[in-house]
Amino acid sequence: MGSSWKYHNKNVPIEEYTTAGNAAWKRLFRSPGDLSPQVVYLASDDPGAFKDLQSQLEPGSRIFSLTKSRYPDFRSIASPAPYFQDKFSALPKADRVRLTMGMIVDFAVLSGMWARDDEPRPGAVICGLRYARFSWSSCLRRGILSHRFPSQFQRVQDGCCRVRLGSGVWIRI
Amino acid sequence: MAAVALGWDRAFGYGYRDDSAGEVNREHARWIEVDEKGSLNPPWRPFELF
Repeated sequence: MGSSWKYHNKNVPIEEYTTAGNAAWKRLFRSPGDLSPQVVYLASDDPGAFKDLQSQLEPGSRIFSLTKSRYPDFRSIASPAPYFQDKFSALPKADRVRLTMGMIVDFAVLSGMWARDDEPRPGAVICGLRYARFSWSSCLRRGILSHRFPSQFQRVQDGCCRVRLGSGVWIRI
Repeated sequence: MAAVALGWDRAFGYGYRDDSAGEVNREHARWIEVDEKGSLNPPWRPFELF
């Protein structure tokens, strides 16, 4: 949901994100003669956002997301439908844990918050005020999701996972 | 939160001019917000407690 008067009680349309993203890519990462494809990580609760985004970016752009990952572990924690708090709260606990893990992984990749120095991190983030939607990255060319699960995340028992916030500090998710 | 991960300089484009006023340098900023589009002051708030 938007925060501004224009988008009060509405979703900020994806066109706002793609327009800003295309402009940011040109401004930050394009030099004359450089035609390398845009590399984008999409973090959204709505699986339909992938197609919309794809249709509005330059042809050949590379878009990564949990929903379209080739790894079942990532697909299984992707949001299956647009988020509504009442529907989410009615889900069984195991599903809520799994989908919360997806949100945190989305945020981790989108922001680079837990990336080590040698790991890819976003070159820019395009977001609304209420939540971030996707990031544009020049450093993601190595294909972030083809790499391992970040070491900051550890699977513990009962299908739960924990994430490292700082040296020696973990929260369980 | 994503602005925190980018780091202040990268997020708000600091380091290219006198930034003592704290204004976002839109030419270099990497935190790009598409809802309010910088019309709020401040454009980024550290925490929202509820």
